[in-house]
Amino acid sequence: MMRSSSATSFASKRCRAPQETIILKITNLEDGAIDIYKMGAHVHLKKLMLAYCQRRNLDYRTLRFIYNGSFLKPRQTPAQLLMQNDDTIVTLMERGTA
Amino acid sequence: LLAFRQIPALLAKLKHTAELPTLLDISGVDIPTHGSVSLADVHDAEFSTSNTNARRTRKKSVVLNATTTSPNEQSNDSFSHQLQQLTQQLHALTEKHNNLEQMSSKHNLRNLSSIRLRQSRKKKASSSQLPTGAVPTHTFPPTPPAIRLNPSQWTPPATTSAPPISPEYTLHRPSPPAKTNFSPLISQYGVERHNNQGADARDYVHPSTPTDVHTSFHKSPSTIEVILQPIHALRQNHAIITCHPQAASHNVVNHWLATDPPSTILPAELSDNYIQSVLKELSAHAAPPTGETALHPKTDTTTAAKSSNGQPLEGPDKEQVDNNVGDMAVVDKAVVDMTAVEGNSVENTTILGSNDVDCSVVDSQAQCEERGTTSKVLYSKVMDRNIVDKGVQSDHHGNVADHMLVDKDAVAVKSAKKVPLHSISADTLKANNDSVNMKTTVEGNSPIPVLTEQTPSPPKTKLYYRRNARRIVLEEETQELSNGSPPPTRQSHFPSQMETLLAYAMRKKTSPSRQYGFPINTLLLLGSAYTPFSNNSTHYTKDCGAFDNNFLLELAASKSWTSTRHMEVLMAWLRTKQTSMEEEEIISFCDPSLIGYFLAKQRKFSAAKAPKRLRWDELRPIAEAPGSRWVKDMQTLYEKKYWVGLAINISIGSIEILDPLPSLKDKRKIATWMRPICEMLPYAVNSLCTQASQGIGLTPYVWHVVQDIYVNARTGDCGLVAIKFMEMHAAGDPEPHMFGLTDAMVDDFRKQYAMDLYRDLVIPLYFNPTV
Repeated sequence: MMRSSSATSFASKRCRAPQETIILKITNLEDGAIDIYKMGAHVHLKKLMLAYCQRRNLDYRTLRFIYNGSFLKPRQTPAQLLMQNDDTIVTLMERGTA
Repeated sequence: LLAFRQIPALLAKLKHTAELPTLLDISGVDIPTHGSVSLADVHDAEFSTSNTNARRTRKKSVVLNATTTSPNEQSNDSFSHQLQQLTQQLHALTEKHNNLEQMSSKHNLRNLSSIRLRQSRKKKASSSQLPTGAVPTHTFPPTPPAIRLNPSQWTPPATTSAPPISPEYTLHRPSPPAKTNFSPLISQYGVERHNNQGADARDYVHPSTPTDVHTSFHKSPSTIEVILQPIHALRQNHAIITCHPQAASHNVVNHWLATDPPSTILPAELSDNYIQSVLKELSAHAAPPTGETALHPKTDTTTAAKSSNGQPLEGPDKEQVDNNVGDMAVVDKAVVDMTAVEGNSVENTTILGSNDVDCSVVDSQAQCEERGTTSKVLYSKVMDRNIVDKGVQSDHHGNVADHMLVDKDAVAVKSAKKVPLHSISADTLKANNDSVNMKTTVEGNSPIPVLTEQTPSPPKTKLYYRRNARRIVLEEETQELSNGSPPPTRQSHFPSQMETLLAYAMRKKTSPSRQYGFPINTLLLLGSAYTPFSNNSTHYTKDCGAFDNNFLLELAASKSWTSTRHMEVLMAWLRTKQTSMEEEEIISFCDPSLIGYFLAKQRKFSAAKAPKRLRWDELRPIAEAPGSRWVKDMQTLYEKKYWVGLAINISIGSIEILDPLPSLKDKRKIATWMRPICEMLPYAVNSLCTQASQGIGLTPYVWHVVQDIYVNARTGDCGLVAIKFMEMHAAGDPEPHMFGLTDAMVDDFRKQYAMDLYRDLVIPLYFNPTV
């Protein structure tokens, strides 16, 4: 959710190489656990979400991934969102059904 | 004196006194026995210096072997004879002990007890038959005690008199214990003696891992005993010697054993001072062979720790250098820790950044190093001089740059570049001697450490572990996702003919939901067999995420439970509808995730001593977004088993709860739910929107439940009703007001919400808005 201050710099808006990798952190706000993933910059974030849910034994449909104040979509890529190394994605559990 | 004079007369009265030695025969050799002796004669005989030694010697011999020794046989120079007698006694006792052991193994316990009983009876009988003047025989314990020998009179055993075979030692390095990739606590080497039969006797052999890694000598209980026991024990058995950095003089001992046969006799007096003196002597004997002098880095006594001006170090600095020997290699801006030498190559070379250098180590060793020079290595872990003898390059020469990591945050090189032994020439070693000298000095003027069993000191790279622990953890826990299998490509949705007609009909209507008038034609289309939504394809919208047709149908169905996803999409849709109040940034719609964020941070907030220092950066994009800026009022949802709407007035610090069913929960439970939000919201607002929080500061917000509104007692409608309440609250509670809603209206605006979402979110995905 929090983005580095250098996101607006020129380096952050550069085109990424096809094989460039990026390290992202996923933080669960409820327990504060941090998971670190290294993935390609042009890989869909759905792979990251599924890997996180599988690692944490969570239901993919009940999790919300928030980055920079907005929900992440499965088809987005880190390159599209201009993510930088060590950027943090926040996860929240949905409140349920009523 | 009178009594003393009466002793011969008394002894003469005893039977068989002539056959047995008398007390005077034993102890008073020079004392006259007749009665005409004057007192002066007795005094001279007692205190004459010439007879004192003889008397003492005689007494000692009597104590040791009273029945066999004769006073006339004793003399001052008969020590070797005594030694032989003592050896015979020891052999006899050992044989007796062995016989007893054999007997005990042969007989059962009952027989053994009977034998002991018989032996005790015989002993009693023999003691009763002893003459009065006889001295009882000294009985030794089963295990022979340590014999104190005079070093000047010790005769070396016959085996040592054989011509010395020039021995060869093979350096053993057992497999290191399973630890991290960094420097191990201890390195062990074994020195095994060979008979110089093989040409490559100096090749490295890998024996099995010793059992106790902390014991210096694995075959002996004590290091000192192994060192100072008779030398032939070391000559016959190979001794595995631990090359602990602080006990580097082991190698000196082995080298001494290899090159110089023992010519001195080591006593068993194991005082510390004596051990140190012996070790000094050993180190003095440890001069390198003549032919290998060029290969030796100056690591011995000749190159003791010296300062830059060549003066030997004194005091604790030198000791610290000695303690640091064999621990790490300090390069100018890196630390090279040669942790292991395996085979004929150097492995596990750890190269650390300059930030990771232990300053104390650097400072202490820097005194030995010429400051400003270009030599890169201050010290390498060459605590075993045998390694150097065999030409193992410990990477402390000019090749450091090949392995040095430029990145200061680098962790370690798990497997550094292997340098084969044959690639190292003697000239290279000789040329680099100047850069390696004075680093591995243990001997010389510095105090020599005592070889004792000691636990290894913690590695000097502990600081390095601490500083880079986070980095290490990151590397260990990082899960790498492959790029090879992208998610399956989705099939794009093409609207059917019915959907095209529905889109055309809805385009003609002008925002029916805003007028609270329901478009009958679209509802009829929606209700007539749901033909437009038969294809359950997913719609990926721009602002509200992805949802499919079933999502819309669930939303339109009455009494159907509303999920968090419904709430999120509806709130996002409301946020996109720019009203006049939203354009003025007076009001904003927030997701239920805002409340989830507060609830997730509740534990950290309650545990914080200074809650004001908590960071709310995760909320900053929400609070400062153009469409949902926190200025005055904020509408959000709170779900605790059922949905309620929260109208938060930031300027006055109050929260209005728009509860569709207020009677469901009492005020106490509502207060429990609302307390974290009321306490944490002022801090978040103060951190993110300073202007909005000027009026109230950090005072907890107050809450109250809005009364006299529509009560929805049906299940599944609470979420939609709460959204409708918030929409009407933001619009100023227009007609029919919040208390004027009915259940029929709820069913209608559920369908209306579904159609509005379809019209505003789905149709723009497939149809050109200009058509």
